[in-house]
Amino acid sequence: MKHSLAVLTFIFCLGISAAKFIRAPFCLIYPLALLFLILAFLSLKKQRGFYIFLFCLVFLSGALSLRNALALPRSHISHYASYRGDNLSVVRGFINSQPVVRTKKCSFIFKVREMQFNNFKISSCGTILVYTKERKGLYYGQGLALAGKLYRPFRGKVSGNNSYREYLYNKGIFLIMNAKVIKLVDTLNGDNSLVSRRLTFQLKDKIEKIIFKRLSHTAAGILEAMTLGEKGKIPKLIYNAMIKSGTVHILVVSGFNVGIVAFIVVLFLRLARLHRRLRFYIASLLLIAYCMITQADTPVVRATVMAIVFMFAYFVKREADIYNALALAALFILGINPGQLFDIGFQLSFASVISIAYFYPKLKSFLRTDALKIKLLRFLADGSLVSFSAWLGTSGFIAYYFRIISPVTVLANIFIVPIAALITLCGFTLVFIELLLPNLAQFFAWPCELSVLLLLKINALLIKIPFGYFYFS
Amino acid sequence: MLDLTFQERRVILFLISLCLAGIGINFAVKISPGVERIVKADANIAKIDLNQASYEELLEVPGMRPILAKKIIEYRKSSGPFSGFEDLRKIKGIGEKRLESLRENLFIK
Repeated sequence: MKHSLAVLTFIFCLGISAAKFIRAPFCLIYPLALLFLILAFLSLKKQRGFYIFLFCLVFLSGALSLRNALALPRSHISHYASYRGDNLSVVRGFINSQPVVRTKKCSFIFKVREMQFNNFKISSCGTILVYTKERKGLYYGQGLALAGKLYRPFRGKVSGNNSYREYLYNKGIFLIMNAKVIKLVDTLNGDNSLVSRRLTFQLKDKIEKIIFKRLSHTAAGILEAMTLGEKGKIPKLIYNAMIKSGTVHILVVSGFNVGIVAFIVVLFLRLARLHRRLRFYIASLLLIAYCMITQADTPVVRATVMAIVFMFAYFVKREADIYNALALAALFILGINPGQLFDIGFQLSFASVISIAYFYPKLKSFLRTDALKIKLLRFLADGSLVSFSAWLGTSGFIAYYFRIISPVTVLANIFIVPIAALITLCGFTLVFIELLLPNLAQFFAWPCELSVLLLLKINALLIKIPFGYFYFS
Repeated sequence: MLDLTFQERRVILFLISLCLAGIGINFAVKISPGVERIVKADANIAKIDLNQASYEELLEVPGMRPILAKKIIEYRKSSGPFSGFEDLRKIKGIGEKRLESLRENLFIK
């Protein structure tokens, strides 16, 4: 079988899912996994026996990885916080994300190193989500002492059947703090920030400023979401309209954006006539940098790993298998945090790519779109088939989580996706021109503004189509 | 089934073994912090305890001359154990530069 890694990854995912619903203890699964490992070694030369033991082993490894991820160290901060959060707690550590400033509020992820309650100081670990009044001058890696109430995230549903608590738990955040007092302190183990991460945050800030300087607030909010993954500034009405037409995926940085970045980078490197090996290294580094700028969301990590696999295959002159590349990306993400398997972003991202990879070639050969002689017609037919394939894979998840079915998605994607590609290209060009020739930047801003307007108008038109979407309870 | 070659099977099992060992150790460290001391190499593992080392052991330290080692032993006998590296400065023949080089190979509990 050609897709060996994909099969093993699928079994690994089954193991993670089983561990989520069957709460077997780690100490029970581990000896079982060791037993299967020994049996697999003993049956190395056998055909059927080996595969049965290997599958069991991979399944149990998946279960173990989730059980291990859910086990918290004794010093973890969540053991010290009460459910109601009545007492004032003091924590010390450092900011582990780029602070997000919204109207009168600032939030960031905080890595705890030490905790103090009453007069006791204990060394602790874990991450918490911190909300505080708007405060400028906070940055990634900054050492802080925070005082405030610690509480567990509420259980309320955010989307379909997913609770906010579960959403944060999947990200490894078990507590929230409303910080009343913030004091600057030394980080306990020297400088905790990664230089590369700090640089990417600075670059992100710079790009954000350029976008908001040159475009209107609404257009800038949309462009920022499409290029940097920050969707906090998109007006709620526009966001909901995109959900209705099933095109909300273009408002986050996804594989699509990574594809565009990879395309631009490879194009420029080819124009520069660099050596194939050098091209591979530079393109990989730039893609990783882009992945970090966009906060390494699951779809971006997936697309980055896949792009690097494909470029590497091109570099060593081997054919890359899309399923194995996907499996590698999944293993990369799940290896870091197995809980991501239950994240909507992860499910939608992988479902859409698997679906496109599986259905698109089959539909294409069945409908014989290659036989179309007019180029534009062929392009439209292929576009609709890709869109339809993605819809087939994701509609089940969207219906489950968002309680909405939107058949208009297939049509919407044919028009919206090319415009989104144009906006992203215009956005990147605008940023480059602003950095190189700031006087000319405004000329490049107009097409960008116009494309965003076109996107909004077409989307508004599409959701007016009768039976284009419907909610159900 | 998957059509894996013999070598591929061995590589897969080797990787899974490593992965299982890693998960097991990680879990053990989480539930019992004492395990960390067993599985993690001590920062001083490649260094010599200044207060416990014999004359022969001190001589193994790069840059340590016999006369200096003797002085260190004598200092320990007369003034008691070293409380910090700064105490070494009290010994004649140990300046800033030598102290830095000794610091890399010695530790004080």
